[in-house]
Amino acid sequence: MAYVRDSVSGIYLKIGTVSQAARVTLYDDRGNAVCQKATYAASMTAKTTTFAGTGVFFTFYGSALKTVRVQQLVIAATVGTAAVYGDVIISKRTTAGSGGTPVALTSVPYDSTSSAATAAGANYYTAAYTAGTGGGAIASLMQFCPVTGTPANGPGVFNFDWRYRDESEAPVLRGVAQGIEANFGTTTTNTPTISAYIVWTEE
Amino acid sequence: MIISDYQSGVPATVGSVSQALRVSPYSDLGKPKTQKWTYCFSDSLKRLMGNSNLNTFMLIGGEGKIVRLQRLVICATMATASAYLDQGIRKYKDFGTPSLSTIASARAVPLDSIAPGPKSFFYIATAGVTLTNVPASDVWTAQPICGANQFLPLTATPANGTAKWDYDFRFKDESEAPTLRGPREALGLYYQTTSGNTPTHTIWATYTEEDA
Repeated sequence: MAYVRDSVSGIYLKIGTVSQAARVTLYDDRGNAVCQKATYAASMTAKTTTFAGTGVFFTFYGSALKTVRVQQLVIAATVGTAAVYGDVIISKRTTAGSGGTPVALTSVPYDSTSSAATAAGANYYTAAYTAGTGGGAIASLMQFCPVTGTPANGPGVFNFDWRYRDESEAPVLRGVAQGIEANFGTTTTNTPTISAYIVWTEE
Repeated sequence: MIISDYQSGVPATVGSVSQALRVSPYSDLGKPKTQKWTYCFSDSLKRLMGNSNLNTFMLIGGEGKIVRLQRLVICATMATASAYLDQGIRKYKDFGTPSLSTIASARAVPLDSIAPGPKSFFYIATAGVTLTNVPASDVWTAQPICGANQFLPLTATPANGTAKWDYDFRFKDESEAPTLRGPREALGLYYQTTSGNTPTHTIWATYTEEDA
């Protein structure tokens, strides 16, 4: 009979009594665990009219304590008076911006046994945030955004999804100065109404 | 029993909470199937693009690196007449260096700030410009690896959803992503049928780099 154990900690490898399978955890070659982690989300509680233009209307910044990986950001948009093809740009920043009129979103753990989120969190803005610096645009989508007051088509849904991956990774935020921001690359000319939610993990 | 590497002596780790052995999946070909340094490229706004059946957007491999295209998402509308257009990706084994002066070149943004700078390049052909310079010896020229027809509505009179091509190579059980080995290998985005007017695009590309 042989047992496998960690030479440093002395921890023994566990074999399932029912499955008779050894427990394994996937790691990448860089030493990162590739498995489920404590997961959090923050969502707007109601669709909200923001502002026209190309200013930043949504931000999410990292944590001083943990490594944060952005898993998904979904934004839905209609516009005030004339339909547009809206282009939403996601930028990763290494130095935080400032200003604007923020509305903070509540960070909610997906599992009640998880510790409270440590990320600085998500905000949407009713007046534009001054963009951070460093990094750059990492994603963009263009969608049809219909008129808010005459519902006839689906809203523009901008789904930035980094969850499904074998070899690629999600945007990683290291420290509170790192974050992602969303803006329209081209002004919508009339006022958008948005709803948004974001999902991230902390480790 | 303690498991360790025969040559280096590095011991395997068992998680103190999970009691699970750390493992890294590899293919039978010796390729790691795990996360790697990842880079994204996007324009900062939608842009008028070339509409030729030559290349309008290219990813060129990096020196000393293996580049794997994980995902490419294109949204598009059309300037003067809506159209059904078939777009595709071609793979080049010996592309050479794009030589047109009017193209824009760019490097992608690492998704992790501790990642090394990317070695690969992107080239974008703006309206009326195409990316050429394929050596005659490139036997892979005009070898598409994927393509699909989509409806492109009018840019100026929004009434329908945009065209969206989502070339997604991230989900892999047995297949692999398009792979570029060195700076002479490339992927090119093009329209299989030439249209009479100009598309407006957003572009979102995700790829990984690893040492060759």
